[in-house]
Amino acid sequence: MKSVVNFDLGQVLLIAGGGFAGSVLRVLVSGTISGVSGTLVVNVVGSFLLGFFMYSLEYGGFFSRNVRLFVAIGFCGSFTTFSTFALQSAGLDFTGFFVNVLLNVFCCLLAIFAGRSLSIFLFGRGAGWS
Amino acid sequence: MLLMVLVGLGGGCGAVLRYVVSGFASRWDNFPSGTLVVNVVGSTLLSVAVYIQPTTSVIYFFNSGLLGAFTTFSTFSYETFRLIEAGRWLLAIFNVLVNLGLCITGVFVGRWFVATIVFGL
Repeated sequence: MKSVVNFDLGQVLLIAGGGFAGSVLRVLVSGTISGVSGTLVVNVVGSFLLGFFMYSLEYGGFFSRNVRLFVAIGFCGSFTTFSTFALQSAGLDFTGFFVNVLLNVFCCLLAIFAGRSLSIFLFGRGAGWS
Repeated sequence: MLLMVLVGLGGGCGAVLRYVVSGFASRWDNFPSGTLVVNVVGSTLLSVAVYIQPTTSVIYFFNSGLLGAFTTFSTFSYETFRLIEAGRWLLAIFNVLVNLGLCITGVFVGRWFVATIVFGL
């Protein structure tokens, strides 16, 4: 067991605050675009944000650890969802299942790559926070 | 408006729980097992919560808020991408397949649990 969880109340509130905002926005989006398309949209947008943020953190070093708790773990983690994706996929027919799974996996991996590319384009690859 | 506050409160709880649970799950040979654990547990619980058909407030707080935030697709994608970037293609493919396989299985287990244990007895 490598990691031991120990954090103060401030860190808990940062994660919870990001989780609050991310969840509300996810439900608002899925209220506008219902069904599997809404879930695909939040997953792709959230993955792009996370990719951009994490690589900016690594290469640029602009954001502090506390911002990471709020944006990466709180907001992006809560804005995207695996549970709804799994439930919706299980309810589709054979073809729909594979289309939905492949779309989510490939579009989100591409979104991470796009976020990484934007970060390198904007900030380069300096020695950042690690 | 009140329902959105319920979603937010559930989401706040879910995000903190995800951080705690995935922190306790150890990383085995750089395999992101913490995210796998939260996704499988969250997908199974969501299936139970959906088929049990709770009231609207519970759906917004627990299903949409807490369990939606507890599981994550962005971190799953990011961790898979890092494995690909590191040239560990097999581990990346394994990560995708095991997340998909166990979470979908969790959905069926949850549905079975509600049908036979909760409503069946």
